[in-house]
Amino acid sequence: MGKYFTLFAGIVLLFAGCTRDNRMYYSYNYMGFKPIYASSGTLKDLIRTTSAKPLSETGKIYVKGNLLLVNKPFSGVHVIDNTDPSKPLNKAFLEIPGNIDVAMKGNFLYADYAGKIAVIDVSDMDHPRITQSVELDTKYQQYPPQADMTNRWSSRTYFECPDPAKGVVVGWLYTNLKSPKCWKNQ
Amino acid sequence: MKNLILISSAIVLLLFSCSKDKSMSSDTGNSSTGEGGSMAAMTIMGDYMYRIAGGNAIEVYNISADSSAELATILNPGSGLETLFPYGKYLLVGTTSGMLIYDVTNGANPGYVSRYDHVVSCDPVVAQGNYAYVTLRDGTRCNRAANQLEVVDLSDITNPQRLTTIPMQQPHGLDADGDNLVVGEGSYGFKWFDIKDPVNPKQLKFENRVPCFDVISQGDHFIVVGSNGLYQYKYGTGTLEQLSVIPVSAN
Repeated sequence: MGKYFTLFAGIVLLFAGCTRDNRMYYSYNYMGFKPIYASSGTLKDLIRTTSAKPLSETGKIYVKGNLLLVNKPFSGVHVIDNTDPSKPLNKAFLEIPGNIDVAMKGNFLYADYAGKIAVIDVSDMDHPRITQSVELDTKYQQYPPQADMTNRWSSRTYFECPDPAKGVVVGWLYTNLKSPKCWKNQ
Repeated sequence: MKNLILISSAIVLLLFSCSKDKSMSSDTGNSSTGEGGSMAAMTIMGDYMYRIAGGNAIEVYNISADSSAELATILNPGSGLETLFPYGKYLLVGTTSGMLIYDVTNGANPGYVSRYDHVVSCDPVVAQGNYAYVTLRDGTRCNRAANQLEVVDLSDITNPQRLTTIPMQQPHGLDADGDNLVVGEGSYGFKWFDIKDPVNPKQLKFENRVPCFDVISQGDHFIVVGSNGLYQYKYGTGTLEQLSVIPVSAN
């Protein structure tokens, strides 16, 4: 009996090994989207300039005149005075929770923010003034706008179920998820 | 003698008119726009801003008032949209299956022009003159792909044609500026090419100590960002002079 059981277990393990693909490590890990929360406050109050931060995780870059902006993914942008490219000065950090992309026209900065666009007057970078506030997008609070195109075996996009108690969702990070309970069809 | 001066000044003028200096265009005038890297999913062209939303929509915002962005149109050209690049009156959209070209003469209502297809991959695109430079890479979100740089002929915008393919390691962002093309190779570093002959980029240097996610070239110098920090270099004759670095610190 013991021998048969070992054989049976062996066959089961073999099958388990065969059905594992690069996105289902140990049977219940999926790639998918994880909500990034802003801790508290209204969306309008969360955008502010703080003292310069050392570069940590770097994202996209944007140049306007002598101004160089370096995104910190899902956090905001480092504001760098690049008047002299041999001596760039890290001046400040503009906090925009969830932000990935920025663009500028004149003294106005456009930033993706909680699934929408915030418009910020940065003529005085130390005192950014929001000229178009962002209304909470209820859909963005519930599920990611993105579809997971890499999932070859199903049309599902997995995501970590958002928990409103943790705050407002300002971003969706594509990452490895442990046993996600939520998914949407793409 | 007078003739000689006339001729030589004409030549100098001609040279100036031919040289493309992007730093000239990024002045700080009131309505001027800045320049994003090739990984940008948001770009401003005139009174309109274009933004990739959720990978399957291009949102068009009217920003003529500067202080506000009014959603004007949403295009749904399919999935896998990744990057936007302004190219004259055209908007180039880098997608996981190639490149889409829109005419934005009517900024609020971009008109579809053509598409350029290749294998599924992640691919920012930049363009200069009659040529687009497209990088393809594999990776978690863009499997099945090759890693390469492609030169695409845009002289017939309705029918983009691949001219050259150069194998790469893990290409990310890139920028073409005058005679210079810089291509980020992700964690492998970056490569600098001479594109005097725009169809046949000639590799001048492979810097393998400076990881590069995105690049912006600014005429005589360029900016590289990656996991080690923000680096700036000045173009030399066959060599690069490092101007500065703001390193990433562990925190």
